[in-house]
Amino acid sequence: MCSLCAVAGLLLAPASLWAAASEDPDWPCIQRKVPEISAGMVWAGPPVEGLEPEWRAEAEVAALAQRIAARSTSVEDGKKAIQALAARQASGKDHKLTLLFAATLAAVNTERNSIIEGIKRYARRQAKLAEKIQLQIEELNGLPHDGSDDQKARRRELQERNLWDTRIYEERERSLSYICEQPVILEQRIFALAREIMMQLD
Amino acid sequence: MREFVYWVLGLVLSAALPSQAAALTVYVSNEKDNSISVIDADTMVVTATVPVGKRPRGIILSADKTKLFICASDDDRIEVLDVETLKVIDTLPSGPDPELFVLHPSGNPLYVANEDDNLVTVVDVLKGSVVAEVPVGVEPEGMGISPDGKVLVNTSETTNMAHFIDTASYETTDNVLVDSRPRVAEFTSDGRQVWVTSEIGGTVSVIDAKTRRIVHKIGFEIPGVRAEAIQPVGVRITRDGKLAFVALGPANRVAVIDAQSFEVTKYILVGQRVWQLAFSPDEKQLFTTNGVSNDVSVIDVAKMKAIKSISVGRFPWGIVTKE
Repeated sequence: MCSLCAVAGLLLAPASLWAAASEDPDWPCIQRKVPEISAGMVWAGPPVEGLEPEWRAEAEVAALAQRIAARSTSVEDGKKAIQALAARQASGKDHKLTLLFAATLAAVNTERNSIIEGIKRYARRQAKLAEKIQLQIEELNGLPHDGSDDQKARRRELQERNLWDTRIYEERERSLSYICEQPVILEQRIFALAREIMMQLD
Repeated sequence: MREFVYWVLGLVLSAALPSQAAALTVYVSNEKDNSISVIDADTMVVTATVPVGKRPRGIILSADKTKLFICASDDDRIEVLDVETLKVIDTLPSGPDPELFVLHPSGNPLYVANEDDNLVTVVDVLKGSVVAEVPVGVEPEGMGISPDGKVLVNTSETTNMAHFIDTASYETTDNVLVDSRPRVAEFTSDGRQVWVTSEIGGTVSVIDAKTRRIVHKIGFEIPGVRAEAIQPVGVRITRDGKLAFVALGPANRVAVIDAQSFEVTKYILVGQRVWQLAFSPDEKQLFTTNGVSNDVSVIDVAKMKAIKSISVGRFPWGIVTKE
């Protein structure tokens, strides 16, 4: 009975160790998972805590934040839009810019979150496929080379399926480094935008 | 009248001196672009980008400041760049995967940390040959040398130790346990202390160079930044021993420390994943390499403020200044 316990323990150990090390067993990237970009990492301007109701009520700021946070807008165009907003303010410029930063950070974090969830789904699909490939190999190893016609047909079928599944798996693995770069690209984006906003502060 | 003449003479001299002073140049290694960016620090513009060997990380100027030594980590060698012609004119042996090095205060030899081989390789830069290979702790990383050149301090990433090595006998004389993943070791200019940064531990250990004991451990706390993002790497201390600057990695900040009281007085927001630092020779400016925002920040030391960001290549790593 206890030999079974030992086997179960062995199987569980690496997984739990991995989970402890990476904090999230579904996270496949070399880059450490940073769940959210906090204001302090990119911003040295006035405090931004509790500003959400205010920027949500300011249509101009909320809309601009969405636009400059979106990856369809170049960072250069984003910087120009920030400069234009600063130039338009007669008074209360610093507060307006602080609201813009808070709104932009929220927008970037929302998008980043959905990317992180996507990466985790991708990793789970890969794990499932790896499991499937493993089962195919185990079944193949159990089939004799000189078996019955049915067994021979099954071998061919499994070999073909295994070839395709392995190919898909490897291609997806190759895309992983690109996919894992995406959260970092958003971190670079919010940092560049925050820096521009800070430069416009008095 | 005589006072007046001296005064006028003084004016003429002070006007003439700055024009004689050579322009300040900053060299930066770009780990991912396999290049060196050359920055004119007066105009703060990149004036040249020089292709070099694979994965350039640590860089250091020769004693006569005519050559730049470059750790080409993935080419397993050191390249020698002529700073006038900006051409690689020579290579030096380095042992495998050179990451960081220090030059003896006399200008020779060079001590190279070989991360994969648990060695410090001692290289004669004039003869271009290996003088010695010193076995050290697992994954050697930071390298510091005492101002008199007698003691080399090497940090080991895995055993979390600062090894004190006698440069005459190559014997390890002391091992000081510090916090997790020590990255950089830096002596104060009077040779009395060694500051060792711990990237994972998030601290700086100040070691008395004579007793080899930790006299103070500096911690960091930044409002709105998670503790695990505070990862100290590069450290620079002013010659007068009054101020220290520590690069805090993904916290994107440089800590300013009163080096007498060890109090952290300020956190300056610079660029993303700040690792290495270099003063201008007059210590009026501090330059930082930011590996994720791919830029160099310029800190005005008197104002304690980042005044400029200069875009360079991808993953800027090592940095030196030359006048």
